[in-house]
Amino acid sequence: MDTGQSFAVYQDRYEVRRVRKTSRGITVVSAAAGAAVVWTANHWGWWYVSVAAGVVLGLVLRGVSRVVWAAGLAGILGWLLPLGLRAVEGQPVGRLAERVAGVLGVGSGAGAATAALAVTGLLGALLCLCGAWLGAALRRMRG
Amino acid sequence: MRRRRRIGRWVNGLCAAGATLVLGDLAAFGGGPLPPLGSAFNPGTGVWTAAKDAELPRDTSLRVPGLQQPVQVKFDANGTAYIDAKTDHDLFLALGYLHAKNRLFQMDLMRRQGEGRLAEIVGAKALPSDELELQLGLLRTAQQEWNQMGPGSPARQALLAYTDGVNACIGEEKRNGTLPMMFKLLGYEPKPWTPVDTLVIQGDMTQTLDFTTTPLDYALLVQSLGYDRTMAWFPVQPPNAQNPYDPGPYRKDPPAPMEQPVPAVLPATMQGTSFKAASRQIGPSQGRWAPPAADTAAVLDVLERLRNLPPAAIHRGSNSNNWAVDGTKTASGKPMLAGDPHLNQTLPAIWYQVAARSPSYDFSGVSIPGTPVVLIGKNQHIAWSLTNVQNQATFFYQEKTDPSRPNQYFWNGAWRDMQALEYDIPVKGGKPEHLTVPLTVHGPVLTTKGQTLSVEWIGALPSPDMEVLLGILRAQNFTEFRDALKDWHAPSQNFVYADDQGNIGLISAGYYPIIPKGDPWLPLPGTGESDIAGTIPFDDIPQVYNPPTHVVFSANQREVGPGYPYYIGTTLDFFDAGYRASRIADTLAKGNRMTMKDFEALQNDTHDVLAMRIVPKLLAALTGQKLSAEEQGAQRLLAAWDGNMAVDSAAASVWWTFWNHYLSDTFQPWWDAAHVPVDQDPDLAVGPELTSLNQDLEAWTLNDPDNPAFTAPGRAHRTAQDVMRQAFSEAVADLSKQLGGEPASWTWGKLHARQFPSLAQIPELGYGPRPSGGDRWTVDAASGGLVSTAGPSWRFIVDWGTGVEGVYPGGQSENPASPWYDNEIPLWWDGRYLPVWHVADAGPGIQATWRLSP
Repeated sequence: MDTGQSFAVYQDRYEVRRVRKTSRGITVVSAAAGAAVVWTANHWGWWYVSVAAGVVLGLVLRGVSRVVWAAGLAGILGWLLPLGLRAVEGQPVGRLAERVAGVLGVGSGAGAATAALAVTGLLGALLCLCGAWLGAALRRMRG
Repeated sequence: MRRRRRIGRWVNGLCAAGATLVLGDLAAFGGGPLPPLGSAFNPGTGVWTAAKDAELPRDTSLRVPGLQQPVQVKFDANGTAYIDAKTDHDLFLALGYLHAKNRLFQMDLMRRQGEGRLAEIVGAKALPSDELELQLGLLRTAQQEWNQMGPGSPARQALLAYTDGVNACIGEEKRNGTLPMMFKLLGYEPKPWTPVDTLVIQGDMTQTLDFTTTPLDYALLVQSLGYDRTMAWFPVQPPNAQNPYDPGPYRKDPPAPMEQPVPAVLPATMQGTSFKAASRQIGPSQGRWAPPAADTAAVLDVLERLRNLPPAAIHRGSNSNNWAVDGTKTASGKPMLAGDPHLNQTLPAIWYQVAARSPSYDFSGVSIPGTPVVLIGKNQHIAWSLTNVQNQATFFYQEKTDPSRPNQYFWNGAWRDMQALEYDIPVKGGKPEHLTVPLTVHGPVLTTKGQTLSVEWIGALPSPDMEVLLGILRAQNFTEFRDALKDWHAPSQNFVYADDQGNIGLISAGYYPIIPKGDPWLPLPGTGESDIAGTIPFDDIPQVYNPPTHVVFSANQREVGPGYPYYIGTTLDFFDAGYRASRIADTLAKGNRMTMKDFEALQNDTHDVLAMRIVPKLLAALTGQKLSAEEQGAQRLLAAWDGNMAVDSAAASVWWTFWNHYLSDTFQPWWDAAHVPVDQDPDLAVGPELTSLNQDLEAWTLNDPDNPAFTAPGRAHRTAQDVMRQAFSEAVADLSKQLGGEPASWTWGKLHARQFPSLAQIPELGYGPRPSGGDRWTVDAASGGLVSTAGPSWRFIVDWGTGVEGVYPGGQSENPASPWYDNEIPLWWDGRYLPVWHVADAGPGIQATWRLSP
């Protein structure tokens, strides 16, 4: 379909698409490293490190999908794996999640507990993703 | 093109930065009802740390700063703590540490309520409560109590050690990021504990048990029903049969002086709440003044504001039971004692069970988190339990003022300046709210709407309760027990007693204010003539020791007979109707070779004495009447019923519904005709909650069935039988409509339930509603309406010959994920008990040991 516009209009987008994505291997390693950093920082209550880790991932990785996957995984894993470990150690994470959901007004039962855990993972992911978005934007602004 | 591309990158960057900022703001500071999400939910130090805290304790060693010697704390399978300390100081410090470890949020909430600091954590919705508490002055009283404690007093030493223990825990939890989850969800950290905080919690309890608004209710009744009818239907002396535990003979002596009230001029600044007071000045003019009737606007304003207090702040239900019998009536040959204080039932519960031993102490029982003593329990030689005396402790004064004399009132022949206390109340998410509390000689001015109304509340006077309770913990016999109680001022309590030497007793300790002129149950003139002149001397207050009946008991009934020479309160203000007392008196009088099982049965008894008295009259009134099939079914249920408000009893439903209709059919026409302002004061609604009306109706039904009250104003003549028949018919129709089916299916559990709400008022953290037996008049009381939220908060039985047991509806931990959050509720519900041990006996069932070291 002829839109009547020259090819130059789309040049910018084609340039973006031409950017070479970070390899899968590096992406996975970066996500794991990010999750480890987030986990460790959370141990001390430094939740804001999730944002910083995301910024680093956004700066380092190439390709939107790679950045999203790595940052999202780092956030989710960095926030939910410690809870999984608590559960493995025998701590009543599920029961607590149900009570936390109750306090938040989500309701009670297994669904509510899942929601409380999901909120926690989602928060970690969002913090990392926002950081990654910021990192990627900074990288692009820097050229 | 490049410029556009650059702009696009900047826009993208700004959007990324904006999104990060918004999310970061929510994570760091929260928003609206949301807590700071980052710190609240992060898995390392957020709410999830409560999962580890919810694990049951294991053997471990802990460092607790401030200890003088190592302390051993053992926990049994139900969470009861056993503290073994080498010094008294360490006992109280360890208790503070344990309380904070298990109930820190509850303690913080309780001190905040009394200190008027709830709005700081929950926002402006708590302002009315904060303002009222600062007006009433729990914080001022606590400060005064603290200032009055001598440097060497055991109470001061205990409070200081206890405070150190609480602060050791707060410090540890802050460092480790393991504060209870409610702090994280509300987004704040607890301030350091102070001894005054403990005394404020003592004040909370005094307010719950002792503060009443009944004079204001009386004022509204007088204005609508008229004085004569009000006093006929809400009399001073109960019209029904009573069981005073102290039948006399009585003595009368001149009033004893009372502790001085809190001075209006306060020197201190306390935790950010600033006080400023003007000095008292005496004006030159004098005058005579007769008080007007209490102004409705003023009364309603105060009542409206009092309704803004948290649900448990003022206790409205029935209260408690306790009793003791000597060895002549027990199988063991030794005295037995029982106590079950009825309070608002919450999760976490009001009690924390503990046993402790040190050089001066060896006790076991239940404590209130935030206070360093066991309130109900035993030591090696004596056992005790408490019920509320229910004498009048709150007096309202109509101050004489003059618009031309702002901030002055007339008292004792002269115009005086009111004193002003200034407070700044912190408000979460808003500016601090400024509050000015004017004070007269009687106490804080609660309203100036239409009339200047102040309140003199005995709970606002300093009361050395901690000193007294420590004295009781150390007491070895009745003489020492009684001596300790001489200094108890408020809340007035019936202390039942039994010892290992075979003695029993009961003392209704506390202040009993004497008003020389006027009707104390109404708002009084503030000009001086009706000021409190003193208290009933200690030797004259209700008390018995080793009575010839071999039995002592209290259940909030009037403790003395009509011959008692002092005014102590009215049927509405606020003694119980006496049905629980009657059941207990009858059971104990008949009892012989009683065992702990007998006491258990009595504590869990759900027989309604009022029903047992009235149902035969109702059945007689129905005899020969033409009844529908459903009415006949209901009649048969009642005929075969023994008055047991069991959860599966259909007759109980018929009785309860009938009685409510009977009350309504008798009194509502009068209420309507007199325009009793029920809309503005729901406490005046005709129903079982108005104690006096139950007593009236009982007395009239049994002895005066032709009482004019049965004839509604302007209507045809009626008798008790006429109204009973009408009420029965309405009750059956009501139940048929509400529950359907056969009358036999109308079980009490379909109408009545118990619920234990969470202290934080979060439904998912509470328990129930669950169908339950009992009602407000059964020994196993269920107060608060058809979904009862008040009742036995701790059941305690001591047999000096065989053992001790107790149970409370809750658990030791406030952590809702802990198995010890509500583990005792099933036991309590089924009427089962757990053994209560001293430290030395705590061998079996020990779950873990903590070794605390300095």
